[in-house]
Amino acid sequence: MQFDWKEVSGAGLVYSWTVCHHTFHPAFSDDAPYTLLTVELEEGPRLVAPLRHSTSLNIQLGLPVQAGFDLIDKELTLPFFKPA
Amino acid sequence: MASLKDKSTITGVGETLYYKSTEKSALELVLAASLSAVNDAGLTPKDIDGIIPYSSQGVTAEAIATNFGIDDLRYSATTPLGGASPVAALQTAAMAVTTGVANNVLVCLGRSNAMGNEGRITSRLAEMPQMRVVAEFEMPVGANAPAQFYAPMARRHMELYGTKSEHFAEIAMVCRANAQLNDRAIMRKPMLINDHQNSRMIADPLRLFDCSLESFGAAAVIVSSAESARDMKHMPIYIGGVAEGHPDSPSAITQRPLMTTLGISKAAPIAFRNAGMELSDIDVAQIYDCFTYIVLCQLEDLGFCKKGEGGDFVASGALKRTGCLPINTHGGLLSEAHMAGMNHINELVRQLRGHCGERQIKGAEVGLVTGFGDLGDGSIAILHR
Repeated sequence: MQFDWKEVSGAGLVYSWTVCHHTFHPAFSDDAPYTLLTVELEEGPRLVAPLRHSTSLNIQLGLPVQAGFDLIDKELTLPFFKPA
Repeated sequence: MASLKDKSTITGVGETLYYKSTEKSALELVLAASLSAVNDAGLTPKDIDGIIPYSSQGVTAEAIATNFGIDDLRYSATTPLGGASPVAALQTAAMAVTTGVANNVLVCLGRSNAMGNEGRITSRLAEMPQMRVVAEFEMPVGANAPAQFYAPMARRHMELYGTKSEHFAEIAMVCRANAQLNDRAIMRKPMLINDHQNSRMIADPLRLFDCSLESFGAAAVIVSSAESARDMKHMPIYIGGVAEGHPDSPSAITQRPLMTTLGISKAAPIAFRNAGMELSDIDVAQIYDCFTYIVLCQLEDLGFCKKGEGGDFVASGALKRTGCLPINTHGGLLSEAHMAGMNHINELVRQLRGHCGERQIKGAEVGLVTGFGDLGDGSIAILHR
């Protein structure tokens, strides 16, 4: 499958989600339980990323969220979502 | 178009014991299960001239041919559809024996943890080329295993249609109740709804008892032409219709237009049409059950109920041994063992032969077996006596 990079707004709506209690990779052991949102970006494609900056959010389909970025280290930057 | 209807048959089935852990190699297990299937068919190892090994376990057709002393292996192939592979392999085997490319095709699968963790699911996934999109975009943020890939499908189904965890529990309990009648099953302790609801959360909404086992062992079947099957040991079990289907957006569940529809929705109408059968003809069904939700979704995609009504359908008791659609009479991947659905084929063949003893579904003449793999691939075979 071929992909292209395109700049998007980072705004989108929750399409589905899961809360990961059991971790399958040691990199995430300290994060559990963590919420992974599947978000439909306003431009169309969907993106999976963790929910941050909210502990008591009542997640539901269609909830507006905004993407941000975690600078993990010099080599690695990963997306997250927070409530819009 | 030439039809495969009733031109091929399953003439032999076999397996090893199923284990939580084993010191035996995958090849050793595959050879033992395959030999058992060959004996069941009344053949000798040299009669096998086609081999379809499971694509991701490192046991090759060459290794089996060498050990079996096959000096003229005329056909080999793999079907890389994850858990949909064994049933998809029936289609490939049916094509081979119907056209005369091969006479007796061995379809086999074996899993071992003897070399460490390589048999485990998270290690296997990393090797699969079909997982590249997920590996690039989703694993780095913490979606690393099937439970985490599939949980959002289940969650969306619940939010759209009101499906409940208790509906998933019903499927797990049906499989466990059936496993209690099966000496081969690994999990035989009775399961009540509270056991399911109190089992720990893995990837919400999927609890531990919504997840299949990780097991080791091997299983095998022999596919032969209908013509040659008449002279074999058991009554031939005919492959009436068989098909595979791939979902829209096959490389990523996340991008799929309809997240609650699987590849089997495309394969099922083809298999039924080719078999000349209706849903109401099915006496017993072995439905791929890597996770409880995947069973519920397939029942809808097969047409046993409308999309969104799977919860009510399973709550009606339809899936129990006494219901209108008994499923997973051996206990399934949830309670017998995870042999990627090869064990579902073996159980269906034995049900149709009438060889299931205490767990026999009376009068079972027509049955259905499904496979589900990777990111939503589906396969289906309709078998009959």
